[in-house]
Amino acid sequence: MKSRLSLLAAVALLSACSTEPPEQFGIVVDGSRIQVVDLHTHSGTWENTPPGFRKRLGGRVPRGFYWLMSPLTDLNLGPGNILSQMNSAGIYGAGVFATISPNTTGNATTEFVAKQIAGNEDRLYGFATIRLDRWNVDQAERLAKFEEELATIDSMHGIKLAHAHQQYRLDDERLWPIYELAGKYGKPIYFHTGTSPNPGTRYEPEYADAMYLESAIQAHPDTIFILGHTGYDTRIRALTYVNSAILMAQRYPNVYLEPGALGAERGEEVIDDFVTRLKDQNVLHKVIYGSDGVQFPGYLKSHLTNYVAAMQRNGYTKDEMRQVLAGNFVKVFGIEIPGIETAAEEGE
Amino acid sequence: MRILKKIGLGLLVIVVLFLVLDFFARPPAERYETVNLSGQVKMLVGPVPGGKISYRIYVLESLEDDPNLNHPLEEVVDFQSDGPQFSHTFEYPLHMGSGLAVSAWLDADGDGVFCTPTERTDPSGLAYTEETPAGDFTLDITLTKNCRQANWFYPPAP
Repeated sequence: MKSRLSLLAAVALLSACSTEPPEQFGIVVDGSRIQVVDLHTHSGTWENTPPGFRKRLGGRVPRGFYWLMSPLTDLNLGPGNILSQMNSAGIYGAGVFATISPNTTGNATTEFVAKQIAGNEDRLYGFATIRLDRWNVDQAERLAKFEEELATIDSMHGIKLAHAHQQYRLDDERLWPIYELAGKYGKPIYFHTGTSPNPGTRYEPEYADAMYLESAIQAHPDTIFILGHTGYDTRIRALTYVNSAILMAQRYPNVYLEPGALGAERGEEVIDDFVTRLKDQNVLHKVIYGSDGVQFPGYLKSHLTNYVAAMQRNGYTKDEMRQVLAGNFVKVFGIEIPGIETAAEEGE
Repeated sequence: MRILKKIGLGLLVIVVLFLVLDFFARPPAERYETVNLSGQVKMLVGPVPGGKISYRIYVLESLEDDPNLNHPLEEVVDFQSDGPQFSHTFEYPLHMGSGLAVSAWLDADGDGVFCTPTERTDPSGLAYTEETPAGDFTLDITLTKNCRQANWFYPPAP
């Protein structure tokens, strides 16, 4: 009953809310303003969501309201709502991921995301993706199209791959041509690591543990590997693969980490341990903040609030927070964020 | 009183409308077929080494009516056997698609993990049929390559 009421409340909130940009972006920590970029948000549509995931999302809907799932999902995952949630949280910019995972969470193609973010490219940064489910048959055709997209769609700043959703072992070298293209075009790749509670997602170590990516990382020194979720085992709410991800970031200059979903309610038992490991193991210069939003109304703000509170509780300095919340993003992607100098500007 | 009647009627119409819309928006009922799967795991050459064997059953081709969501190898269920003979009863989801695939890997080094980055000795394979299974169904699986997941084998390269 509680979840049904929550859903109806979410529906009402979503319909009612459209937040304008704040006078100043950023969050205030002990009197200082810190800018924020959220690397990790999703777009998509109900139409391109497979039955298993629809069942998970729609399973909480009271009788009589299921037909609202389609328009509300599309509204929730649309650029207007992403921007609205960013405005409400004080977040200046966000990555918006394309994903093609017909076994799990569904499809949002590169072209779709490019259209979604059109007109807001100053704040929404696209991540392209590529379909993999018939790779033995169509990889040449897929790679050619993908390369054209990387070369011609300016709003695509990176690449999103989710091996566990796309049913690929992290050590599958058939995907190395994608990593080569990423290096060639200077587009960092965001890799989903760790697990997921979504139906159909693979959760065995070979799909979740970043150690399985090590040979690919070594073989592609010009490609930036961002280890999404830093190996967080969200299915069982544990830090099972986090140390592996940290080890990769320590060993290789081209590896970065992202803490998506650690600030969500599911992560509240482990977030202090998580942020402490990152600080104690000296990888804060490799951490790029992301949330895995937008999920539901207010998610971007609540994730950010929880993550910042965890950093404060565990002794992060303001400079360390600046690095994590936007500084490392600007360093890696070279995108201008008001109030933050890019590497090029720093060198001038 | 008349106003109250009108409000009541209006609410009734809205409720009925919502229920009708709900009925047409919900996915069709799920349909299942019980399958008693059995078979044997083989090596390309020689006998099957000792060790636990892990299997995963798939619908071969899913959501064939939808060009965007149609995909191979929709997972149904996992099971294990202690030797090369296997049998397993499961519910095949007819509403998801057609055909059957079964992948298998042998834990040759006994570490419980399907190959690590450095231990690459667990053989794997996949058998498939375009026939949708029902009742008693037999499928033998040959382990041909180490450390490969199902989509390494299907769909096969032209």
